[in-house]
Amino acid sequence: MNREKDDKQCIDRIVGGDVNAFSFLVDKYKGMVYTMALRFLKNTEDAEELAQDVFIKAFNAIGEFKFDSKFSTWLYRITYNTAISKLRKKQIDTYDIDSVQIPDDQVLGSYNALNEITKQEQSKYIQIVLEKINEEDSVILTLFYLNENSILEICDITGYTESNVKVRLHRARKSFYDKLKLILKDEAISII
Amino acid sequence: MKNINLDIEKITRELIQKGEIQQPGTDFTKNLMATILKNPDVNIQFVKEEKDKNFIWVLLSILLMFIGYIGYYIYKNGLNTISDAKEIPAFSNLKYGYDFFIRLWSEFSFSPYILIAFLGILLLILFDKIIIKYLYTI
Repeated sequence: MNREKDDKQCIDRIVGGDVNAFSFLVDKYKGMVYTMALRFLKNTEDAEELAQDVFIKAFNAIGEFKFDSKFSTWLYRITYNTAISKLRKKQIDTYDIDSVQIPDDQVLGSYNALNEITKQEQSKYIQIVLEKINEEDSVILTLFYLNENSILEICDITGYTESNVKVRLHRARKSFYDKLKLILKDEAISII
Repeated sequence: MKNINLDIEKITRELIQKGEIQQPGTDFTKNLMATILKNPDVNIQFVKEEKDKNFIWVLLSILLMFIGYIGYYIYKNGLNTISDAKEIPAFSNLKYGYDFFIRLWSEFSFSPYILIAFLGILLLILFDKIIIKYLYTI
């Protein structure tokens, strides 16, 4: 709640003409905007450029922000749309949930294998997996599990329906475990 | 293994949080603010004062002080003395203040030094606005 109050005070100052107050919002949200951009573009330079474009768009449109949603949700929506228009939006596929069930032993195996390596390596492998999977799946996983956005907030950001987000999330999780299994397997082979 | 009731949500959250939120370069905010401030359409105002709100509070405070003063005077001297308004000290103080400003105004002149001082203040304000833009560009 305090975060939202801080954002509101800051936005009021920006709208009133105090341009420098915007740097407070940039510092607060640049990490997540950059991470989302990186999940889409898979390249640090392009991601930084996209993050900059997003903040400039947000600055120019900040007077139109009416506090109907959280500022962060509004900002991530701009990030999502900017990235999608850069990648050209693909058709939303429908998936049969039964065909994307994740076997329990796969989840547990990946979890145990990952816990046996150092924290630095764990972070590296998770980044690699999130880079390898489909861009939108990667962003949805990041929003839901890393940034802890709710399903409804993700609907607001992406423009998908609730059921579509749930299906995508399910499919993204399956894809994540498949890639993680492959990467950990490759790593084990390279060590041997 | 199949009998183990796994909390896939919890495990996935734990795994993905190992990935951490990444950060752009250290100069990201500085470069971004420089880009925004370079835009000639951007109007810089460094401190936003809630002037209207402050003005109302000042007026209210003055009014309250005045009412308080009159109330105190009546309490101290009784209602009868109020009829002779000239004897109320506040009015004599107001008269002194009025005389002071009249005298000051008659002695005030627009000498070149005063004009130069005003010009200096204007230049300092302009310099202050420009230097911030410049600092963001370097």
